[in-house]
Amino acid sequence: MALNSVSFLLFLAVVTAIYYIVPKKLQWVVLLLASYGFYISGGLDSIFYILGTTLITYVAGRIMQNKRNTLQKQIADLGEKATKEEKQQLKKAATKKIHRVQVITVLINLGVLAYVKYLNFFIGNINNVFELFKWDVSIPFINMLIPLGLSYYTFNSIGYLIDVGRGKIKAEENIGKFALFTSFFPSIVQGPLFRFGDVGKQLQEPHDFDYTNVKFGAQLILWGFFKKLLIADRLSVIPAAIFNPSFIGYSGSHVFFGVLAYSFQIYCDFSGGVDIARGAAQMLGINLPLNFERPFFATSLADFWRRWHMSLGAWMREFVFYPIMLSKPVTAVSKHFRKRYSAYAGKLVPSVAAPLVVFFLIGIWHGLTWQYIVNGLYNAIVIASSVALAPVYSKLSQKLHINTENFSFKLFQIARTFVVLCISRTIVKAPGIKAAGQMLWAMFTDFDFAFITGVSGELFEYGIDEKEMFMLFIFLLVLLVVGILQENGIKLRETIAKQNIIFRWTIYLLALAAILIFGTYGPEYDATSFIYGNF
Amino acid sequence: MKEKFKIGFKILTLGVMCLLLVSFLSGFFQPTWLLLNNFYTTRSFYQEPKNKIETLFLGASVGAYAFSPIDLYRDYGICAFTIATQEQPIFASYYWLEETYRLHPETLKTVVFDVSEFRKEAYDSIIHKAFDGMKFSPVKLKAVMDYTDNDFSKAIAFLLPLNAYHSRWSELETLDFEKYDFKKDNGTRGYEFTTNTYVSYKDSFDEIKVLTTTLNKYAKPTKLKEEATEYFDKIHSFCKDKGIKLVLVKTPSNNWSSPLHNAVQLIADKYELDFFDFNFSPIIDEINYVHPYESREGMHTNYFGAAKIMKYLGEYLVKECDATDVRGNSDYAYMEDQLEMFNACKYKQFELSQTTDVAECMKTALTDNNTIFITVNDDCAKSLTDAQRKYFADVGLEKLSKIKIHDTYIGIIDNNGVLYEDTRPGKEKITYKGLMDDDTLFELESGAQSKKVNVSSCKINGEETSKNTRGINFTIYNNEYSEVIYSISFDTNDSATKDQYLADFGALLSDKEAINKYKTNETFVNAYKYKKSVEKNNKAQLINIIISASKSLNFINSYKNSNDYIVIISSQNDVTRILTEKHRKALKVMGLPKLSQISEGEAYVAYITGGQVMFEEKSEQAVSFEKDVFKVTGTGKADNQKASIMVNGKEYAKQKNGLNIAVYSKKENKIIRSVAF
Repeated sequence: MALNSVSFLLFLAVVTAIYYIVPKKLQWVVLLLASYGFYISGGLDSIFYILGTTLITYVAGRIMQNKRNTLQKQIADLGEKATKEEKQQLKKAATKKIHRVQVITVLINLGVLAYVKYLNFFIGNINNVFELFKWDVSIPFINMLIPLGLSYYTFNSIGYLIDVGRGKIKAEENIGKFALFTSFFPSIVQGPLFRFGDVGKQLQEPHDFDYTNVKFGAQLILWGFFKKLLIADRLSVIPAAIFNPSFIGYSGSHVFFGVLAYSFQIYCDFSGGVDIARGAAQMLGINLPLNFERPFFATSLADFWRRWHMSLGAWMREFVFYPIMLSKPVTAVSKHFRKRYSAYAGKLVPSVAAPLVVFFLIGIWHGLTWQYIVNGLYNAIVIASSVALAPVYSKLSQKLHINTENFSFKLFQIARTFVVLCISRTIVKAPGIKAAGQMLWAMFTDFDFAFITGVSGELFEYGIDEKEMFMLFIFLLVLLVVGILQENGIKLRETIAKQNIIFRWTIYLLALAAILIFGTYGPEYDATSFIYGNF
Repeated sequence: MKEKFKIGFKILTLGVMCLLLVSFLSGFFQPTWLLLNNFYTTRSFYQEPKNKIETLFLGASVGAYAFSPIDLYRDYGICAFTIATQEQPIFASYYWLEETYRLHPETLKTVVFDVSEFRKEAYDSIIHKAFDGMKFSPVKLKAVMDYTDNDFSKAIAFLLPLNAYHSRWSELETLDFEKYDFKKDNGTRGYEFTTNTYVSYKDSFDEIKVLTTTLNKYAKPTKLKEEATEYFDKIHSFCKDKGIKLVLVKTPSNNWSSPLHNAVQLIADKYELDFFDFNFSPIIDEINYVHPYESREGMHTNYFGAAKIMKYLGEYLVKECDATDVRGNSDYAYMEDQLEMFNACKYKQFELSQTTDVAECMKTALTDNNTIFITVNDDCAKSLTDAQRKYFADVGLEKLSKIKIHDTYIGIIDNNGVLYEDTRPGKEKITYKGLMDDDTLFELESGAQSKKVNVSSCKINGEETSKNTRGINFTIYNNEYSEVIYSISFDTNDSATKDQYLADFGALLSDKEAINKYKTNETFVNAYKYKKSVEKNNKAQLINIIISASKSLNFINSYKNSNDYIVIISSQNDVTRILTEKHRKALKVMGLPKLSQISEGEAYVAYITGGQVMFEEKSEQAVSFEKDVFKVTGTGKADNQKASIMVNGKEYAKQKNGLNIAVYSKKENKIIRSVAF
């Protein structure tokens, strides 16, 4: 059941109605049944993966919690009699055991993820090696179905295991409630990622019917549909045409046009889907974390990653970035550099090492292909170099008397970040790593202004005619205006709520009519699934 | 509590408004498919008062073009309706039958079913065309769920047309905004009216496909689609349960054959149903159907053909189905209105299309409440007759009556008199535009001097309606129904008279006097030529029929017409045992008269190539011939010898009793087949 389908809306309406009708203590049960119902609607094939992950993570959590409880009991029993050293020894022994369980379970979860998502990548590369040596053998690819939401529930589960291991949260006792945490239906398809201590607890809490929540949730869903159906799916034909394996002779402006369309497509697709998920959750009284904060207004690549897929960023920061920064080897090397060279050099080591690992992981999270790996490294290098060169930039702007606080400079930064991002998108979207190189080269060496300005008319030959292009322009304008308003701190839903009923309802009905008329849906179109549903 | 009620009310109101919006947009974006009357048909169907329809015509587009219920009402007083949509699958026919019965359970007595879609299964776009016009009802829900195998996500596309058609926003036409105008009902009760002919559809008369009207009963029946037969069984069971008589019909079409007929006949025999196939004798001869002029483009009948079919079916319905004559019954007064509209807007076209003289056409048009927009192109005066000029003067078109060579002209006249007239000599184009009483905008243009300015244009609400050919061009607009009913042009520069379509020339074709009388009428001559081609086809069919029954003749026939092969025939013992009367007839037609007359025990030899019988002999004694490398001997009963086909000294005959046949390939220079029958 796709999030952008009528079936999902009807499903949500029914679940919401039942959710608020049943006694509050049964609300979580309704959500659990709905979540598994939603999951099963996509087929029974992958249900065992999520059940397995849930069970293993739950049991591991319980073991870790028991060990922690036993430790606390032992310390309490010993009371004042025990020395500090004895207590620390007990603690160390228990932590070691907890850590062991944690590591094993995290590895099992990652193993399943790697097996399902990355096995064919390894097979492909082994076959390449065979081919290189002209050995007449090849390992057949394994046709495997990637379970719905595999990355999302695996990462949520790993987060849970680490939090329980660190003692930040108590492990859940009720397996049903824990199963709801791993399977909550609005976010299972494409996130956002969340923590057990926050959303996991909200899922278990009773919720009164709140009209504002339902209303705001519905509005967010409408906005999600707007982005997905009016912009993302309409734009999808352009990158599909330009970044196809048979690309030959496209000029740089073609590539730029394609990557421009792809940039907006992927943003509207992903953020639209998350808006639908967050809106659906809000209707049920559950606040899922924000996943996007107008990434196209980012002034640097680091800023972009703070605004794009924020829940993954937060997860990486919490469970990868800081642990690397604070890890013994990195601090040791950093210390060595600081002593041997300078404080700046010492600071540089973790600033380079952490992004390299994080973006490598983000790259392979999207898919284990060389393009994603190269793209991950590209992002890491840009961010690390911007950190490394920050003092140089600062000195340069001072010497050249550049005012870095005014609007024009901010606009320059936004444009610069967008170009950097376009390179990143081209690497990922091109039909192969070699093609990506050719396309990027063309983008900077062979630019056809007649094409990009629409003078040649060829602009309308990629599946979007003039009328559709005009409507697309209007929708992107709406997106821009909403973005600017939000960037300036205006909360749109709250602002609309303050208007009188005729104005409000006219806006709702117009938005609905726009989606119904101009939306890319129905039998004429392929049911375009969410891009991030594949990751 | 009050607050909860307020919230509940708000949610409910907004929900209802959203549903209304979806419903409105669904109706708005749904295509009208006027080409097959789909929109008018279903709207008219649901406007019909309950328990009125007695005869229901179901079928594909061929049914829409052939079944004219209003003709049945006019001539027999039968209340019928046609629900025929493009390629209507039998699946859809079944549910339309259920829907009709839901609304007319007390009156529905006969279902006339067009059998053309037995070869096809339902697919999305034709299901849309069949069901989009059906109102939401338990029947529609059942049909859609059945089609989508209870898959709600697929069903939604059929239940909510918006899902399928919203993308039409960029191609909306004026019609989409006008379709809520209820005056636009065309009164045809599901019939698709046209006077276009197959002849005018093709570039030359030789391109017309000649029908074979002799049925080959021996042809192997075509395998019909399982889904189609399954739903036909349902139609049959439904009719049986409800006491409705089911009749099968196939209208004349290029796209039909004996194997198909035989397949449907098996079904008709199984259920003991009447099956009228208008493609074959004797029915096609009984109605005097003339395919080139009574078909629209070879597949569908035009009104000339439809009228003949309706006459036949009307008589059948009255005699065999106890059809009720509802004329004069006040409950059916609405049908009188429909008939009036049909006569004014459609039947009038039929009459106008038969006129061959410009004055006669004008006279016919002005008998009703019509306005004629007159424009001229190139020259219209050279061959205008005095009688025509006099008629124009009589009706008040003074300027037209005095028009000179290459004068431009614009005129407007209705049955109350002349509304406008203007003419100019010389190269100048003239234009005139205005509004009619019903606010219809007309824009006229006429240029008649040189090739550069030759134009005849009549735009009604922006849409070009003029034929724009040399001479006088008419656009005839019905004032009562605000509709352009016909456009026609007369080349009054050319003195040749326009050939007349003779409504009854099907019958005239067999009339020696008529053949003589109309020998200068090109239409008649063409029809006569066509009739001769049909006879030729039928003769060939006769051979096919016999061949179908005989493998041996079939074998000979498959090689005999080629120049690449020589078919060599020799007899052994007796060949008469395999020859029936039909075979003998066929052999005669094939040019083997001696074999066709062979007696028991006689010997026989022959060889054929390129369709020519080069040698044929029979005798009471053994008979032989030698040519080039061949030495052939046929033997009879008396000889007690074996048949022989020697080529280059080698024996190829199977040497079995009966006919021994060998096929020699000239290209390969050897015998390629040898058989015995």
